[in-house]
Amino acid sequence: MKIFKRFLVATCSVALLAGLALSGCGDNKTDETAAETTAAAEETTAAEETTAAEETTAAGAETDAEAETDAETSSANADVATLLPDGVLKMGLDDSLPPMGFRDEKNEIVGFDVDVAREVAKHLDIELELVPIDWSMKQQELDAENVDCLWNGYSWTEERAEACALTKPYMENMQVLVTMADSNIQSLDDMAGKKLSLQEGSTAELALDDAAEFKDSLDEVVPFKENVTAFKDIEAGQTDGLLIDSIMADYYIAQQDNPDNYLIVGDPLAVEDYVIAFRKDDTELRDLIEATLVEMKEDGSLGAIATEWFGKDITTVGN
Amino acid sequence: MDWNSFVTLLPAFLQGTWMTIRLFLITLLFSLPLGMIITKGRMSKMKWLSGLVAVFQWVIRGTPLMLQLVIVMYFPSIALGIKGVNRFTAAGIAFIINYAAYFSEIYRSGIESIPAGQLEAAKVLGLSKGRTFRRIILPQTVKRILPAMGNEFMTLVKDTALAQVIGNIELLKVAQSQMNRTTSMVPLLIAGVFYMIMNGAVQLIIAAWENRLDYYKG
Amino acid sequence: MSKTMITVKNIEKRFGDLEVLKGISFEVNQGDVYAIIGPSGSGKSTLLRCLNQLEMADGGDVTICDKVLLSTDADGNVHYCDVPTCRQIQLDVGLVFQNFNLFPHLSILENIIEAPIHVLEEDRKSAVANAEALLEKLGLPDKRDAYPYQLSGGQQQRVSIARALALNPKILCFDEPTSALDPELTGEVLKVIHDLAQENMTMIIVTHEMRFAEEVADRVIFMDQGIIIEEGTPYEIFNQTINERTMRFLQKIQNQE
Repeated sequence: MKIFKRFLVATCSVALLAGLALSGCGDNKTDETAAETTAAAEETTAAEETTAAEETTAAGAETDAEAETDAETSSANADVATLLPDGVLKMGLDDSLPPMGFRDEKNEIVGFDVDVAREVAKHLDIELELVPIDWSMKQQELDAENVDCLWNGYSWTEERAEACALTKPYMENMQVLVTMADSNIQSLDDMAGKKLSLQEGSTAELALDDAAEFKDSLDEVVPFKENVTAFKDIEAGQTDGLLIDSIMADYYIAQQDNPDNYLIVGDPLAVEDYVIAFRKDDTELRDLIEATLVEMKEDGSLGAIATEWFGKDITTVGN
Repeated sequence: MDWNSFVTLLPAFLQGTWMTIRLFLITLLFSLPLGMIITKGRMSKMKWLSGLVAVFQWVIRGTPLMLQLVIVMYFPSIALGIKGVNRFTAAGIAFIINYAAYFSEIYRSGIESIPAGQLEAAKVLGLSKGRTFRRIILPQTVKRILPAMGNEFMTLVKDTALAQVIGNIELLKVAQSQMNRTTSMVPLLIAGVFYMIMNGAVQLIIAAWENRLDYYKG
Repeated sequence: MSKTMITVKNIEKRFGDLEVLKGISFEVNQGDVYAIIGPSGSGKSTLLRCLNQLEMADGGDVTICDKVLLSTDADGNVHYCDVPTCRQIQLDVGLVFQNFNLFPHLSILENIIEAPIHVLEEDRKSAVANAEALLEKLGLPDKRDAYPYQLSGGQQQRVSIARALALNPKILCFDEPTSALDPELTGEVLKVIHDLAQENMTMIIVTHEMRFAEEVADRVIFMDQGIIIEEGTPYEIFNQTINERTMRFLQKIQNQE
């Protein structure tokens, strides 16, 4: 199957190669193209650039002040210089996963993961570049080196651990069943013969596969591209329950005029860990970020961010 | 979503719209002439060339545009080690190649629908091949294919939404992000209105063009 | 003896296995009006199209206005003249089509002046003046700025004759010029051809109009199945023929009328 896939991709690509060569993406022009790309990438993410720039200035000023007093930081900086020669950490994220990473009312990217990443960048005296990607393309974006890490409510799975270098968990997440309060579905068992919606490509799918008994009891599983449309579907009564990250369910329900209309049913179907993914061979960078998170947990800055978003420190770094 | 938040979001929507419009214009700018080159190859008397072009058309028209976007974006870096492919450039290349393949077949059907007598009349009058194409065949072809091209242009406006698959923040992506924040479908409806306005303009331009060519029949 | 304009010797044409012309020979002198008659599929249109280079002949020799269009050597290989000569011959021989083939997107005037300006490189002013004179002569003085679809079939055919004449051809060919016309419109086109004959224009006319052929032609060729069955004066063909096939054909046509 894998071989066939590769063959298919190769075949389809042959025709496109000619076009690529024409457009100046050929080997001999790689340097030029790369330079152009950096400039253009900044342009396309103009909205974030402003934020990032402000951030850098602030970070720069602070680091100057701290540089002489904090020996640990300067030793870390030496590592950073070799691991990230440009001094930029490119963070790949889905900008539509509140509250971990999403667009605010000014269309700027905010969220818990974004704030934590900014704090990490501040600690390491590097610049953070937010790269919003299509979440279903995350592995390709990482492999193509368009981003340095995937960091956006990214759950640990065996397959992912195989493909990437993952940090230790920094937060716990649960796959929960959400129903409409008036639907009389009080437990997972009540879903027997009913329709379940979920976000395609999310870990909800994996959790469901692992809970074979529950899955078999369902009438139908309806995948949606986004959680919001999946929510609309249970509101419309098309499907009876939604399997979703508890953190996202909490956010969605809190946004509604009548939060009481929704019910998070009984026990979670699965408990997962949020981690950060790096390229398989980028373990040194992974270790550095991991160490910085531990540092932040100790100096209280991580807890402060968590409290800001969730009301208490629910992070699990160092546990 | 109330009026005030709409006003705050307007710049973001306009930014996404601008990306959509740029992609639309760049695609047309290059795929319209490229399509003609492909048509020439397809209609060539050299069998190997015409066959090769037919295979190319089959590959491009026979596979999803989304797949082509992904290949253009990630194939060079993952398979060939060419890093830093620009997202917008990649989207442009995929769209140009895809639309040129469709345009080329519309061109061909248009050219082949011109009665052979037109070519014969031009030949008997001694007109050169170039002059015959520019003055006799092309203008009549344009009139015949305009409705089909109008369809393609309007589809292109909407197809630009696919560019988000390789990380381009176009109009629909802006709307989807806002939908996830506000947990409301209104941003999608707003995007719908933006698409309607753009396609309204496309429709008006095509109608005006058709009107201009309405001075003759046949 | 007037000058020979066209010499055709043993011209052959095949479409795949189908032999359409099986060795046709004739000569046209200056000022002659030739009418070619015969049943459908007899090869008369193909003959005309070979003379106008719309089809490539597979054998024979053709000389037009002292220029050799094609010749066939002893081994049966056909040699066409070089491109400039071909082009020159093309301009010497005009062709009027059954379906007019006017350019629908160009006005009547633009249809007529296109070739004079872009092929003969006449200046626009004289080309327009010439075109207006032709329209006047063919009875269409007020149609200059009209488009083909606004004209009747008979008027369109007269415009296409004007378009051919604008290049000052030495020979004018007609490929069933009235076959696409309603019966009441054929008269106006035949009158134009008749007038051209009066002016001593050399013409070859493929036609189904027997009475017209009889009246206007100097010579009549009867073709069937790719060969010339009979050639002669209209009187000889229409009144004195003893050839069975010619008689049968004429009989059939008469019955139809």
